[in-house]
Amino acid sequence: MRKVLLVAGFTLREALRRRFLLILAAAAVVVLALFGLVISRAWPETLRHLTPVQARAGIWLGARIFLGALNILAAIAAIFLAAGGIGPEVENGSMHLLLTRTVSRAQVFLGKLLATASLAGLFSLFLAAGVGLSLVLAGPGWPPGWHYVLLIFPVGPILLAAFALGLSTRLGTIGTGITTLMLFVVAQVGTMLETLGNVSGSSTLMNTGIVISLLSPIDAVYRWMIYRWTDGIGVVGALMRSTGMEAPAPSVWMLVWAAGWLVVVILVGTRSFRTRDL
Amino acid sequence: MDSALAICTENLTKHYGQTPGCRDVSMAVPAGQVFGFLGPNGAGKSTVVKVLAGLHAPTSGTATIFGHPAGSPAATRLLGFVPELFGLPGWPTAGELLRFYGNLNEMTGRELSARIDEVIERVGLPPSVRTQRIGTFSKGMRQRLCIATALLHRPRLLLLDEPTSALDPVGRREVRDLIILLRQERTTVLLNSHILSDVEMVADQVAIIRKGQIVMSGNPAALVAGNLSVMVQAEPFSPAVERALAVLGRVEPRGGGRALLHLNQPDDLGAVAPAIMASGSHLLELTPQRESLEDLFLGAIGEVKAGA
Repeated sequence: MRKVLLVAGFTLREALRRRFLLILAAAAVVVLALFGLVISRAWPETLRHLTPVQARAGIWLGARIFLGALNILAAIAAIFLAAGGIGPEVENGSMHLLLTRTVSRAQVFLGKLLATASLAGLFSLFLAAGVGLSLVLAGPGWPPGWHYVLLIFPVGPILLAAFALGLSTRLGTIGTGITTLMLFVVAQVGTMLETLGNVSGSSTLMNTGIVISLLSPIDAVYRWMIYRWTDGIGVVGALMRSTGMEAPAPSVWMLVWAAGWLVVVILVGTRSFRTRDL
Repeated sequence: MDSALAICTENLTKHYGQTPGCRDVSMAVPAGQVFGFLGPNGAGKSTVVKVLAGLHAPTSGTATIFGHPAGSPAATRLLGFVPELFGLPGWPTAGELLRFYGNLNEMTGRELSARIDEVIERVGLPPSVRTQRIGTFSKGMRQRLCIATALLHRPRLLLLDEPTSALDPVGRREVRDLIILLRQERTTVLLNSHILSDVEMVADQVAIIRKGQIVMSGNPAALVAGNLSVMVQAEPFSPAVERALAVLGRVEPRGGGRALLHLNQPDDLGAVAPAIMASGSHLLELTPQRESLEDLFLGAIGEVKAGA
């Protein structure tokens, strides 16, 4: 475990010195500040025309839409962080220097995973916490049930980071990045099919969507989080769902499935790295 | 379990899909020797080195380091590796990188700190590099640092894949001196280099690899001594003379009635003059030539040195 932590620490320090991470952090701060600014202007305005309950419902709805955009930003960040994790180091020879130490390939893979998944997770947590904080500072207050968002929002990016790192044991940075982005898009397609199936009553569409969500559970985990959060809002949550234009709520077992999916991705990634000629 | 042989391969074969990397490579390198590994580009040298370093898995055959299977933790613990491509990260200082590698090799504290200073000095880098970012290093400095990382944990076997490719003549000489010093300390060195004069100066044994197979091996001085060439000049240098000389060895026509004859057997030297005269020509010159490792190498890989 000590060597896994050593590799993780080195990878983390390397990532923190990359300009990309600085740009990403700056972009996140700007986006969150803009969100806070918009809400601070919108909140008194909505209170003038609506009851406080209605006004909050509107703000929570806005926060949900904004969170969807941040979910894409967090996914892209996770892919950027992990896609170049191993492939480029094999190509430039630095992995050769590393692996002729008394450290196994599994330890190197797990160390890099720990570092990239932590960064992807922490960045997502920063985004989710930033939204909550913006709502507090702008007036509407801390959204009820937001702890579900803080806990689950980083899961999707962590899944993506693990998948990208596993893939980077075989592919170059661009190939890994594009393939992982496709996985994220496929997850959205799964949600779309489930929504269409729910609205139209088509079990074929619904089941196809579920199968896709099982293969790529990233968006299903996100949806589970949204449902748990809106459940916490009570009346407001029910209001937000009253249109019926939603995919059905994923079961809690989807979280278990996602955990299993993550374990399989890690095992396959480790094995792929262990058996590759470098 | 440790063997007296630092490196032992038996019928080592590596294929990349349909492309052969090396075929039936068998070699034994005793501990404490400097072993020169020679071959043209794409001959399979790096493949063998990477199998020994545990970076590639052999398709068939075996490779051991001091009796331990190549790639096993026990084998890796005993070797240091300087790859041909030394992509060192640019962001840390040399001290930070060496500390990280030392920690991975289970070295810590004052012992590691002292060893870092020692290897930095040993590869000819100034002490100030310890706090200098690698990104600011020249190519030669990076190569020296790469050698320092390989020496850090006092390996018993050093695999050097083109270790002087980025160095100037002074740097090359320093690396040669370092190799000689390491041999005195009983460290085995496998030197994979295109710079044949470097190999000739330091290697106890050499192996020449061509198209994935070892075509010649042995002590370089003995190999060179076992080969004799003579420059002959005859008047006229008729086809009959060339045929007569071809019986004695490989003939390289040089123009002006001259040819370099690589004798099959050094003992055939006495038969050269009679062969020319028996062909009806006059012998004008017969000068024995000392063959270098380069001549030997070019002969072994089937190439003739142009303009020699």
